[in-house]
Order: sequence, then C-alpha cells, then structure tokens
Amino acid sequence: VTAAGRLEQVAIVGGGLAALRAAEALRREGYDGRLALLSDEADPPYDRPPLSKAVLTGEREPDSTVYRTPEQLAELDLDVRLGTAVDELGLADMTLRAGGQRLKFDGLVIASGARARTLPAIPPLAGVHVLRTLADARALLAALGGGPRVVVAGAGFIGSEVAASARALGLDVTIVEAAEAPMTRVLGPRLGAACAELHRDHGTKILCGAGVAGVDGEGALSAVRLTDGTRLPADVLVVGVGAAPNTEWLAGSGLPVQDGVICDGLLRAGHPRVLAAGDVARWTDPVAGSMRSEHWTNAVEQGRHAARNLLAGDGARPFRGSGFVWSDQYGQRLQFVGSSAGATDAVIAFGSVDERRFLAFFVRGDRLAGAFSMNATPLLTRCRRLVDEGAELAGALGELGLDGAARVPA
Amino acid sequence: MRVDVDMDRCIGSGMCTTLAPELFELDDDGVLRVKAHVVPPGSEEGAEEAVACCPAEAIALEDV
Repeated sequence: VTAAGRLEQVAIVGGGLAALRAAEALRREGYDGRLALLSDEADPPYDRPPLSKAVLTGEREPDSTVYRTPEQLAELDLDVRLGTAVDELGLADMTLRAGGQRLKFDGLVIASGARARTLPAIPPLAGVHVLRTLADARALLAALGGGPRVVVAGAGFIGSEVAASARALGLDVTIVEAAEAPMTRVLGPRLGAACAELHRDHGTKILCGAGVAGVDGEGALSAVRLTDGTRLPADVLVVGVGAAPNTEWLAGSGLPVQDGVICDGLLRAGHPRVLAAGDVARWTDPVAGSMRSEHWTNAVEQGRHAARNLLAGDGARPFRGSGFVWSDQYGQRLQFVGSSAGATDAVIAFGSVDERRFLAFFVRGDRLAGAFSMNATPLLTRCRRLVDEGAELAGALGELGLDGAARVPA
Repeated sequence: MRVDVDMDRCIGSGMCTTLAPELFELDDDGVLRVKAHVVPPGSEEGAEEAVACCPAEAIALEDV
C-alpha cells in the first residue's frame, strides 16, 4: 500500500473506543472507500470510564455514555453493523464471516476488545455481576438501587471505582483482594497501600491477601465465602478481576494469538493489511517489550495509529504509547503516565502520601519509567515528556523545581 | 483552525496540555485555560491529537 486511494474496503472488527477512533482517523486521513464496523454488542460505541463512576452513582444516565448519534456516525460514512459477532477471519480470501454474512475486505483493524474475566468458583447466580459493558452497567445500577450489601472481588481500577461509587450511594461495601494492596499491578505494594487507606477512610472494608472460595444462595446470592473460611453476607457481588482479550474468532485464521493478538511494533498482526488496536492487541514496545493495555488512552492512541499505519503501507511507523491512565475514587483524582514494569524504586517527588496530594516517580536505574499522582494533575502533566524520554531522575526533579525527594523501594 | 473547550464537560484531566502545551494549560488549581483559540501554524497536529485524546470529549476544533 503506498496511498490511501489503494484501499477500497476496510473493515473494523469491534465496537469500542479503539474501533471508533480508527474509523475517525481513517476518514480524517483521507480514506474515502467503504468502511464497515462490526460489533457483537447491541449498543453503538460508548464511553466506558463513566460506567463504574458517574453512571453507578446516578449522576449520569447510562445512555448518555453513547459517543455518537446515528447522524454523527452517518457523517463518517460508516456502515455500523451492531449485534454482529464475527465468527471467522479468512486471510486467504480476505473475508470475514459473521453468521450468514460474508464481508470482503482489503484492510482490517482488529479491535474486538476484551471481556470481563470471571472466577471459576462462582457460578452464574442472581446478584453476581461483572462490569464491562453498558448492558452490565444497566444491570448493576438496577441491582444497587435495592440497597444491597455489596462485596467487590478485586481491587484493580474497576473494583476500586465500583466500591467507591457504591459507598457514595451509602451502601455497605467490602472489597476482597488477593494481593497485599489495591492496584498493585500498576502501583506496587507501597503506593497501593495508600489506596487501601483511601477505601478505609470512606467506610469501605477492604480485605487484602484474601480470596473468594465460592458463593451461597438459593436462586439469588446470600453470601460470599472466602478461602480462609470467612462468610460475608451479601446481596450483590461484583467480580472485577480483569479482562480477557476476545480472540476466539481468530482461532482458524493463522494469526498468532497469545493473551491478545500478537502484533509487531507497527501494530501489524502478522499481515501488512491487518492491524490490531486496543484491549485485544499484544504489541511489542521497543523499551518495555511485549505489552497489552486495557486502558482508555491506549485504545485512542492505538486505534488512531493502526488506522494511519494501515493507510501508510510501507511508510508505517512504530507505535509508542503514553501509558496515560486515570481513575477517580471518593472524589480523589489518581493519574498515571508511563510504566511501573521493571521499576526498582518509587520516589515521592512532591507532596505527601498521607495528605493525599503527591507525585511519585517510578525509577528504573536512574531513569524515569513512570509517574503517579494523587490530586496533583498540573504537575503530572508536566512529567509526560520526561517519562517519554526516560529522563534522568536528578535532571527531571531539577526541571520540575522539586528537591528533597525521598527514595523508597517500589 | 479555531479551538474551543466546553468547560461544562472538561474534567481537568490535563491530557490536552501534554499534547499541545502551546494551546492549553492548567492553573495551579487544575482548571483548564485555553492559551490560544486560534491554532498557530505547526500546532494543528497537536490540536487534533488533543481532540481525540480528551477523555471528556470537551474540545472542538473547527476550520475557520
């Protein structure tokens, strides 16, 4: 491919943010051929972050999260096929099969996303929820309206936000987390502990180092049983234990799949005209190696990048993401940029963890790998370029006008 | 091009300030300020990135 005009029928599989941004970028970059978006969901592309926050607290209507009106989608000249699960990708004949439909393509963006993981110990039962889709949010919102006792399994981003929202509704909430602190995958144990305090201070009970062994209930949930024998009476259990990439439909395609569809640094999935973006993409970062990200900003960045690289053909450029992540819990703004993978130290560069206004650097050797802030957005935004560049710690502190930073194990 | 921010939608994520610091800044309280409504030559790409990456979809860009 040397020019946008050479492609005539591009398909996007998936109906989330990465898919929408890929479609928008294709049009913005001048692609004027046929463009189809195939999504297995009934809802058109919608904004996921509010589902665990303002939607659950009742500040926003669930349907207000839908990104585009049908008229706005029509302006993109986008053939949106909802409720359309793609069963098969045939690379030999460049064809997608979805039920009885067949769709030829000459360019493909795989943005089929991920689905909520569940726990094998928990059978489907009334009162047991996950939160991933708009449909999930509607169901959970309805359940919370009944004033239930809530248990949240998992204190990652989703679990922590659901717990905070349920507390804002005045509900009795207990978090059960297997690791020693919340959000340890991103923050490590020490800064994770600060997030545990945030929960406790707002009346959320949090049990760390604890596992869910099973549930009790005849027809509907009555209690959650933990591995140490504890029994937590509960009417609602929200399972927030991560997401699994949707790659089953690629099984017979010959594309390499392992916890995501494997891409090179250009986001190409083993074929120059097949690229992947968003939660489903496992790509190779020049610094951090093999990565998969389930965050909002990554979906935007990869959706746009995949679209551009598809059109660019031989001029495709390597993807480099910002690693920008945010969360709001109990009215506190948590933000992260970069990566904590392989970090050896965390440095409190500004403020105080106890006062819940601080900036921390994750350091690999003497260079910045990531930055995390609580209620210090203006400072965090100034760190993005420094983290991108892998700046030296001393120089970064000087540039930001910060000194007296305390270094502690990550 | 002209850039505008819907302050009712803005959540102060600061994302735009990292992508187009010549157009956007946060004050010390984290409130966004548009430094230049008319996008200067060379800043179009950053402005467009800011529109796409705004978590609140609060930024509008129009050709003038």
